[in-house]
Parts: sequence; C-alpha cells; structure tokens
Amino acid sequence: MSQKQFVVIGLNHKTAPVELRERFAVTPSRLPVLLSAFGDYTGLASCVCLSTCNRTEFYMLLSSLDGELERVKSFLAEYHKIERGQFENALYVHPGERGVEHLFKVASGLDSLVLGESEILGQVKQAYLTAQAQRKLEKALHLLFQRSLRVAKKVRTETGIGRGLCSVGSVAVLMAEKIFGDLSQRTIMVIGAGKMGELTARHLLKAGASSILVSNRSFLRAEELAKRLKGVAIHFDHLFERMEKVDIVISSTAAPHFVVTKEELLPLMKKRRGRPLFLIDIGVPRNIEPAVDRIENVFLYNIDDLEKVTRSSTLERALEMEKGLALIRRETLKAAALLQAASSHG
Amino acid sequence: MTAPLSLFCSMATLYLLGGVVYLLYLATEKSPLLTLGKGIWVIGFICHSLFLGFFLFKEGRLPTAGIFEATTFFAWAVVWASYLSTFRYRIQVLGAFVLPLVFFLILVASLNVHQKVFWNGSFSTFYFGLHTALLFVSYAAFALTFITGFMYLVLERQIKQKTTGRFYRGLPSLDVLEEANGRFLTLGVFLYSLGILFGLLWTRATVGFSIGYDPKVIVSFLTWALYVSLLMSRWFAWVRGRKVMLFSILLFGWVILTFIGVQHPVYLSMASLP
Repeated sequence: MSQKQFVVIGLNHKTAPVELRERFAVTPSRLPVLLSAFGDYTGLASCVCLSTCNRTEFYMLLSSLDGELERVKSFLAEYHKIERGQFENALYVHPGERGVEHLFKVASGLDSLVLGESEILGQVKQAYLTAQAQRKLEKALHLLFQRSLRVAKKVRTETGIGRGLCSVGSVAVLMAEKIFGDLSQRTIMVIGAGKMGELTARHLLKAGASSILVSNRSFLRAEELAKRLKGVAIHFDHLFERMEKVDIVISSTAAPHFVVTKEELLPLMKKRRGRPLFLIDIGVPRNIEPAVDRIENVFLYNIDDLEKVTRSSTLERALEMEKGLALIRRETLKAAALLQAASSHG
Repeated sequence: MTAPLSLFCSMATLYLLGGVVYLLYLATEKSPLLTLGKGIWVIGFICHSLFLGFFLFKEGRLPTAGIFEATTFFAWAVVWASYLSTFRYRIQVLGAFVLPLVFFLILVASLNVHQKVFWNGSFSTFYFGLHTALLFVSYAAFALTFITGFMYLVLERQIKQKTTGRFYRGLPSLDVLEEANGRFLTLGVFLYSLGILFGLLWTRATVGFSIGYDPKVIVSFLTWALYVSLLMSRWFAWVRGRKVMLFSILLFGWVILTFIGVQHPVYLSMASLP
C-alpha cells in the first residue's frame, strides 16, 4: 500500500480578496453537499473542508500530488463555476509537514485575519465533525484534527496570543467607540442568526450597548437569537423601518446577494437626520453593498476592512506569536511522525 | 508696546514648544509628553495673562486697537476658552491643535508690533468694552468650532479609509467632536449676537443710530448671518457631520481674514471712525 501524504489546499485573506473568497465560501448547511460532491468527483476517501469568511481550505490525504491535486482544482472550478485561471494564483498547497503546521496555525488563530482570535477553533472543530459525520475520516486525518484542537488550546494557554484586541468583536467595539464614544445609549441590529454575528453583538453588549434587535429570514431563528441576547426579534420585512432608530448594524447572513443597498439606505439616512450609522458586514459573500460607504455619516466595515484595523494591534501580539509558532513547530514534528505511522497503516 | 517684551517672547516660545510637544505625543503616545505639553500650555497662558495685565495696568484699557493688540488678545481668549473646554470634553490632544493656531496668531501680532493704533475717548465706554470683550470671546468659540471641525475631518477620513493613523488613538469620538462643535457654535453665535447688540448701543450713544456703509459693520453682519445660517441648518435642517465641519473651518478662515483685514492700516486709513 502506497503511503499517503497529508495536503492542504485552499485560499485565504492573505492570498485572495473578499470578491474571490466569497465565491468559494460554503455555508455550514451546504457543507455536507459539497463534501459529497467532492468525494464523488475526486474519488478521495475523505476530506475536511473548512470554510469561514476568511478562508476556504480542504484538508486531505493524497497518494499523488500531481494527478489528484489537479482533480481537486478542477472540482473547485466546476463546483463554484469559476474558471481556473481566475483563482489558481490565489491558491496555496501545503503538503506534508508544512500542511500540518498550517493546520495547527489555523486552529490556534495564528493564521487568522485577527491574529490570535478564538472563534476559528470552534470553526475548525465544526468542520472536522461535519466531515466525520459525512464519511468516516481516515485514521491519519482524524488523529491530526484531534491533535490540532489540543495544540490550539495549548497555544492559547501557554502564550498571550489571546490577550487584547483579538476578535472581530473587539475590533467592532473599538470602531463603534471611535464613532459614538459611549455605547450605553446605542442600539444594535443583528441581521442573520449566525455565530459570528452573535459573537460580535455580544462584544458590543458587553461594551455597554443598551438594546438589540435581531432580524432573520427565518423569524423563529431570529427569536431564538433574540432570546439568547435578551433582545427583540423583528420580521425581516420590517428591517429598514426599524433600522431608522438603530446605531450599529451587524450583518452576517449567508445571502448570495446584498441585503442592504445604497438605494435603500439613502432615503433612510434622510429620515435619520444625519445620525451616524455603523455597518459591520461580516458576511461572505458580502451582505452590504460597498457603495453605501460613500454616503455621508455611514461607516461600513467589511471583513477585509477589519483586517486593516487589526494590523495596528497585531504588532503587540507579534512577540506572543513567536512563542506560539515555536510551540507549533515542536508539535508539528511530533504530529508528522505520528501521521507517517498512521497513514502507512491505512 | 508698553508691556514687557520678554513676556511676549516667552509666551510665543512656550506656545511653539507646547505645540511641538503635543505633536510628539501624538506621534509617540508617550504620556509624560502629554503632562509636559499641558504644563507648557499653562505656563504660556500665565505669561500671556501677565503680558495683557501689564498692558491693562499701563494703558487702562483692553488691548483691542490695531492688529498687534487685537490679535494678542484674541489669541489669549482662544487659549483660555480651549483650556476651559478641556474640563468639559477631556480632549487630551486639544493642545496639538490649539497651540499651533495660537502661535500663528501671536506671529501675526508680532509682525504688526509697530503699527500705530487709533484710540479715542468714546472707546473707553462701558458699551464699547462689553462689545469688544463679547466679540473676542465669541471669536474664541468660533476658533474652537474650527479646531473641533478639523479634528472631526481628520478622524472621519481615517475611519472612512479604514486606517488608524497617527492621530487616531489620541482623538475623541466623532460624536464628542460633533457635540462640542455644536455647543461652541451655539455659544459663539450667542455671544457674537450680544456683541453686535452692544456695538449698536455704543454707536447709538456716540454718533446716533447710524451705522452707514462702514465695511467693518457690513462684514460683521455678514459674519453673523453666515454663522446663524450654519446654526440654523444644524438645528432645523439637521445637517450634521462632514458638511458642518467643513463650513466651520471655512467660516473661521473668513473670521481670521476679516479680523486682520479690519485692523489693517490700509482699511483704518479709509474707514470713517467716529
């Protein structure tokens, strides 16, 4: 039996702009469909797909780097209906130890847009569990993901990577405070009932925001989230009516089109009498038309913009990152040996 | 000039130094620089006040005649009003914007130190004193609308461009700047209106109720009308943000231009003074 090699293929915020990333993004509900199609097309026994707003990556075990990798690329082009030439330059391939190190870095938040953010760990775990539920994972892949979760926790506890400004939520709070100052009289609206939107809203509530409205296409899910956040659920049809009174909008829906457009926002801003509106678009594909940022007193931040802000605080955690990377390198060597043993035994 | 020149030079140097220290603070964010800047600001203000105190004691009148006196007094009002405003708004880096402006005014004053001034007995009345004092304080309030407007535009640009540049962390929120700008504008318009009213009463008491076609009077009414329009647009048309701040800056530019213009020897030689 030929020895299989662990390979990571994907694109992320460092290699691809949001316009490209959003075309590859897969919602959690559609992930099983993608994994099934991936298996059928490539003939690979198992694969873990991690798709967040900042990355879409496939983790798998390959026998040959050339032929199978080509099939994976062709699958990506066909499944996402995009020509290979448009994304191949943004694609990275990390085989063997480099792949293991990459997985550990991703799980620890060291490869994240917001360095050291913790949400990614949950997303890696979810991607692993989804793949496991879809098809039984090969032993080596299973061991590697189990280990990546342990390494990520170790990095967080043994370094200060998680301290300070390290999540989309903290950046959102910083920006909101720069626009509104005191957040105690501010109202938040969450569009979409996803995890990222909830986490960001929680950060703003913790920073003092007084009330929260939740809107989702499924009113039931809006009610559930509103209950968790001690807010009020509103019908999706009343979105713009209610937006007149809010100060901060967090949008993280899986909608394939813009939920908020410039055309809809212009008359709303007149009704708001110039009161500033802070829009946080953490959806991929983007939920808010970028042109709204040109409206006076409207401040739009999408996932890439948040990266720009976090760069300034990245420096403070750079030293901690070095510690984290050293730990990951040690763990990678151990895992690579383990992987070799596991993959050679099937 | 009868008051000690050394005090004038000291305050000019201190304002320049203070401005540099504040700018260094913005660049490095080292808090001892902030304390040092504040200290220099206060010492500069004390020198400034002493200088004007000497003048008042010697001349027995407010220093409001000619560019040198008026601009020095105007600069003092700006420093005083700005320092007071820090208690309300706690804008830590205000000095980085106020002190360079004050130094500019002092520089303008120093370039006109030998200008001959015109003063007659009618200027020493209660109405005239109140008229000028109110106008100077209102100018200081307008200077603060200029400063807060400038700060707002800098911060708004940084937020829109998604950059956290040099001034980013030091500046207060847009909301605070918007509120401060609105209050300084309201205060400025109120005091300016009162100043004009007392000016009219003084004119009536000295030359009867005739303002004629004195360009100074026309410019004053135009300035008043422009600031009132800005205030009304804030109150009734709910104009906020960038546009208001831009107008605050432009209007203050107009104030400076007319302030120096009406004190200029060319104008004074042409104007018919009572």
